[in-house]
Amino acid sequence: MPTDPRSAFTRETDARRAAEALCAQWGDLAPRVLVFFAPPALDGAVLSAHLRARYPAAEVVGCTTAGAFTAAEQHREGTSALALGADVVRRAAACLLDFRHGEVERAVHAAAEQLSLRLGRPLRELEPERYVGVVLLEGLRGHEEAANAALGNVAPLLPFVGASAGDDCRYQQTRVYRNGDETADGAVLLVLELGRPFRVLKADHFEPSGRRLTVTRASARLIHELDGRPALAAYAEALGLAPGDVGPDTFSAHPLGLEVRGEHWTRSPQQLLPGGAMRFYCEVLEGTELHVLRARDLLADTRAALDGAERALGAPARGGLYFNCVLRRVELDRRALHAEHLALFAGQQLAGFHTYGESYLGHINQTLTALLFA
Amino acid sequence: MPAILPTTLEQVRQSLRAVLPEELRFGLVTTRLIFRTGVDLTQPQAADRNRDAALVARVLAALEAMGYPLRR
Repeated sequence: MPTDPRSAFTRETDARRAAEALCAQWGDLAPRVLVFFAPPALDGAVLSAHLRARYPAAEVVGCTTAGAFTAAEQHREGTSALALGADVVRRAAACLLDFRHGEVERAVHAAAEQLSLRLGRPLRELEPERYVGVVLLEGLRGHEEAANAALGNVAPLLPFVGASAGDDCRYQQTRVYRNGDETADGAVLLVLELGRPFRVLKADHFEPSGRRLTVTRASARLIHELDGRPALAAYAEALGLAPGDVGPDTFSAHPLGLEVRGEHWTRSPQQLLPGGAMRFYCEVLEGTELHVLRARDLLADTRAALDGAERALGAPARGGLYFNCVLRRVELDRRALHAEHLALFAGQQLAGFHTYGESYLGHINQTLTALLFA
Repeated sequence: MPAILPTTLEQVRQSLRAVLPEELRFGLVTTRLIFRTGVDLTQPQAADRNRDAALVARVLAALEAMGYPLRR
C-alpha cells in the first residue's frame, strides 16, 4: 500500500510531461485530492486537466508560486504536489471563484452554496474538529482581506488555511487552478473532511522588541501615521534609526505584530511612500496597537513551531501542505539555508510553495502556515 | 422583556461566550474579529475603549455578518 499522503516533485515545465512525472511518483495511490504548486512558466490549467483525466474521482487544485518544495527538494521552477488518499480524506469538495469586477463577497457566498450542496451540509455547520478548508488566492490584486472576511461570514467556524499565489517575483500575473480551469483574479476553495488528526501550523521567527506603535491614520494597506506622526518617522524612531536609514533590510528584520490572543501575527512593511507613509503587505486598522518586532533564528523557530504542532497532534506529522512567505524564501536565499530548511521537514510527505502572503482566519505576512496530518 | 444590544465590549464578550462556550469555536470567531475590527475580545479592555459606542457597534456588525446577532 503506497504511503498516504504522498508527495511528488518535478522540474518538467511541459504540463503533460510534468503530469506524467508526478503520477509516476504516486504509484498505485488512488487520490481523493491532488494539490499542486507550479511555476508560472508551466501551464497549470493543462497540468490540472491531465491530472484530472488520470484521476477523475479526485479534486485537483493548485496555483502558481515563487518557488516550490517538498521535504526532499526545492526549486524556483519546480512543481511540488501532494496526493491525499482515502486514509487522509473522507470527503472533499472544491470550487474555483472568480473575483473579476471586485465581487469577492458574492463569489465566496456562491461558492459556499455550491460546496454546501456537494457536502450535504451548510459550511457553517461543519465541525472544526473534522473539517478544514484550504484557500489558494490570486496574489497580486489585494483581495485577501475581503476573501477572508467573506469566508468568516459564510463559515466562521471552518478554518481556511492557505496562501496567495506567486509568480517567481515577477509581479505580473498569478493564477489559481481547479480541474482544468483557471483564473488570474479569484481563488480556489477546497473543503476536506479528514480521517486523521490534523493541525494548522502558524510559524514566524520574530519576537516583540518591547516597543509598540499605535496606528492613528490608515487606509487599507497604507499606514499614514503611527502615534500621531508620519509613519516612517515613528517607525524609524522606534528602531533607533534615522528615517533615511530605513529600507528593505529594515522591513524584513523588523515587521510589526498584531497581538491576537497573546500571540503576534506579522504585518510586514512593503514600501516607503512620499510624505512618510508606509505601504504594508496587509491591511492594518486605525486604532490598532502593534508590536515592533525583531528577528530571531528562522530555522530554530520553525523547528520549535513544528515540535509544538506535533505535540498538539499527539504524533509526528506524516505530511502536509506548507505555505512559506516569499520574504522567508528571500532570507533562505541570502543565507543559503534551503537545504537546512528542508531538513526540518525530513520524513514528511509534503508539498509546499513560497507565497505572496499567507491566510489563516485573516491575511498575514512573513509567516509559514501549514496544514499538517498525523 | 425585549432583548437589548450589548453596550460595552465586555458585554459583547459575555454574550458571544454564551453562544460559543467551547474554546476552539470561541477562539476561531474572536481571532477573525480581531482582523476585522482590531478588537481582541479575549483580553481586558481599557475603560474608555470598553464603552466606545462606535467600537462596540463595529464589533456587533462584524459578528452579525458572521451570523452571530447578539442580544442581552
